[in-house]
Amino acid sequence: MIEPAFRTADGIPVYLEASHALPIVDVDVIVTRGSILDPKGRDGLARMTARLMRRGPVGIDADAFDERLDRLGATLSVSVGSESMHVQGSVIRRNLAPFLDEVAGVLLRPGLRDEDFERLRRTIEAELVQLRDNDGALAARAFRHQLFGRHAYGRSVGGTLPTVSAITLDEVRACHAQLIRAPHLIVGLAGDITAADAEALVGAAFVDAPRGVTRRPPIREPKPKAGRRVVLVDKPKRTQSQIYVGTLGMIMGEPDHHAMIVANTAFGGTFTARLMKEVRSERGWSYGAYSKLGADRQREAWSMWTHPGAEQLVDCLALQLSLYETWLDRGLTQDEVRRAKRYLIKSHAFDLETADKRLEPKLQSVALGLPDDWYASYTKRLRAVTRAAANDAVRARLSRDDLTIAVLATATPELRAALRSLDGVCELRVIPYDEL
Amino acid sequence: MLACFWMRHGYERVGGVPFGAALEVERWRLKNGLTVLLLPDRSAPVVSYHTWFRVGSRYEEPGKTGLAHFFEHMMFNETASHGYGEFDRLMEEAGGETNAATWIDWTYYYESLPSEELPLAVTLEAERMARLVVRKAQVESEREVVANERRMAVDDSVRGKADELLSALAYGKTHPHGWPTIGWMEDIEGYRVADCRDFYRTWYAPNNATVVVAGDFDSTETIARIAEHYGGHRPAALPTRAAPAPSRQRKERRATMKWPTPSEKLLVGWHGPAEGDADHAVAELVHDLWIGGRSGRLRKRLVEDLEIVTRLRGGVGGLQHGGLFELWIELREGIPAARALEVVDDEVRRLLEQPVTEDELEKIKARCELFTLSSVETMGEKAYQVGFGETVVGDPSHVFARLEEVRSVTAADVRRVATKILQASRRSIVHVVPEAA
Repeated sequence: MIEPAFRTADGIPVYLEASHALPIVDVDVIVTRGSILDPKGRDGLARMTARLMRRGPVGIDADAFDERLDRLGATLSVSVGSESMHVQGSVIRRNLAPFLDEVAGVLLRPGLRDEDFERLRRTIEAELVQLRDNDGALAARAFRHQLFGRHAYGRSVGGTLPTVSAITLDEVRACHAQLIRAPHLIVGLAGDITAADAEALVGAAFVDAPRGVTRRPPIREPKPKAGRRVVLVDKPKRTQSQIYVGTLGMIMGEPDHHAMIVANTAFGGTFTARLMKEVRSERGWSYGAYSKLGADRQREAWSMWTHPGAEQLVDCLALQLSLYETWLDRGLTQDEVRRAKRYLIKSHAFDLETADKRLEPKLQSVALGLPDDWYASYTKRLRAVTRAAANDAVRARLSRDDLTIAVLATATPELRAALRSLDGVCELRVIPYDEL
Repeated sequence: MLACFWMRHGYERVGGVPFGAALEVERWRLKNGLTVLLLPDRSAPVVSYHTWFRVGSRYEEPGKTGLAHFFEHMMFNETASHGYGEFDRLMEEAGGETNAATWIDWTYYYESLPSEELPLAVTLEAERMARLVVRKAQVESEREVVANERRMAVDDSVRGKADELLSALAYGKTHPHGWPTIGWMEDIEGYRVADCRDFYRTWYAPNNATVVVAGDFDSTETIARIAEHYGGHRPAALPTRAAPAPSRQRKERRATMKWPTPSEKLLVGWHGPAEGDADHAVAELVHDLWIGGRSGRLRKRLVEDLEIVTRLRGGVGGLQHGGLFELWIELREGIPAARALEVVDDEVRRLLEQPVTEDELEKIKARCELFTLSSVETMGEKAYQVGFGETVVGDPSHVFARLEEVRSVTAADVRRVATKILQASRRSIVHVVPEAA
């Protein structure tokens, strides 16, 4: 574990990245537990807990708390992933001390009030309904449900209407007690702050954090169904489609992780990568065309995303599948690997540009339990990747035959037939967009 | 002495202006009229290189709408020295990121690079400013890409479609602010190669551009390099364009839009001041008073107290000749939009009848301070602010000048500007109604 700048009395590690260029400070607290702990039938519990915490600590109502933050010239937000929760904010330097008190209050002494809970539940339910306007998000959700099935990674971090309506305030309070414990917290400060000031201010704010560790539930390796399976999200009057195609990706920190980063960059990670070149530059079929390599404690998703016009949907999807097969069968060229490596190594300068950019990988590294030199040796490891290593990694990690294909479009009979007839497709499921 | 230097080198320093507490923007000019703004900042080993052209969608003609944006796409294609795709390939190999944007008043291009690669940006940008090759095949390919971009941003987007309707409603479809920057689809389908070549020859000239460099570089070397690469470009005889006519709207305008969406939505736009107008800062403050932060007046009532709205967005258009003061309101399922509009009307009355307290003003000013500082953290953000300020109001440190303007706003200013802008007769409303599947 990277050595922190200091630890609080409760042992919470605190990391610093100083920059005195501007009188602002970013605060980032990572809680190393996330939605994976949500009980069955309670998807969205951790996120609802975080959002209820954000409504303020004990002794002040939600409206007054928001007023107080705005007066400080501060922002504060919460987010939840499957493995972590983030409480993040920014503040004008002169108001850092009271702001840290509020951040610590949200985490360690949240009000979790009954009236706020019911209001929040109604808000989340309304937001889930509004999600139906976001075609990209709907397709992404369908993709993950199809790929991961009932696995923890397939569950919705934000929950669904039935699971959110089933959550009780007692469950939220229990979730908070389970998640917010000193050994789960990592604090980071970036910006106009010295180590001495940080130690005094954070030490004074983060006191009496509960001890004890909540054990992470074991996560089994995801096992997607065999074959190429299509889920078609049917939405009326679409002139454009959303396409996600993918399979399982990686576990964070595996030996060939950097080889996969290089390979994915060459295939679909940049504007000149194969996928973009063929789909957009050569044919003009989709404004965007990218692939993404996911990695977590268990195998996350690898996916490619395009959004062609409705008329080009089937041709574009067939092209993507062909490009994917060629990538796996014949690999990347020496020149593609060289260019991807060069791009990744040289653009690393931007990961160090500002204090908050420098802090982020440090915190992530600690949160994920990666080796101390994981980020420090990033460019060195990239340089060591060979063409053979990149191509071997792709063949070892990505499945040629077991693919999840999620498409959002208007499901005409012609489209259904065309999707069924795509090479290797063994299943087509159609879901109305408002039932997802 | 200065004249002698100018003649020998083809460039001269013509001023400078502080950019925040610690930095300075150096203003240089080349003999051909190119303005160069240098913002040296050695805090990180990176640079951001921006090229701002004073041409956007308001410079287009009806029938050719979207051409400025379309041409932005064309600029990433072939030049006399670099084949198709070379621009992006060279940038990526240098570890750079590049993109562009087009709006009503301007088009800008940027590269963010490790500092040692700055010469590449100078070379490539200078080349494509004067020696772009426009071919039919590329026009056809980009036409498809832009049509798909339009489908994504407008035709399949409830907000995008409502935006397009509101502009046309508030200004009229033939007003330069009334057509969409991305263009009408039928116009996109009709561009010819000659249209693109004409557009390039007319507007892409050194005397219609500003180059901004922010980051880790040496000013003397950089201006000399820029002069070397751009110095031979000929200035153009720029067409004169009359400022867009001010809106004569005297009556509220409404349009209804049916859409496959779960709830009603409202997009409301009042005619507001130009970015350079003294009232613009006040208008922004009023907007923040309504929907800024979680304690904004409208947000608190609509989202928290009444629980009838899920999302509230908006802004005050930052245009040279007056934009819209906009509110985007997403109602909860089953709630009629009229209920939200009643609250908006009520909040307008409150602004006109009750002075804003000093306490509330101080809150908004603190928020503005944070957002101003947060908008100039990276080199790319700094270069953007310099380029935007120079192009839209002629002040590269406009972002900091704006903060000072906000700090001096009084309760009387708020009432005066609210009275001027928030008139029912000067607003347009797009009402989105769910359409059954």
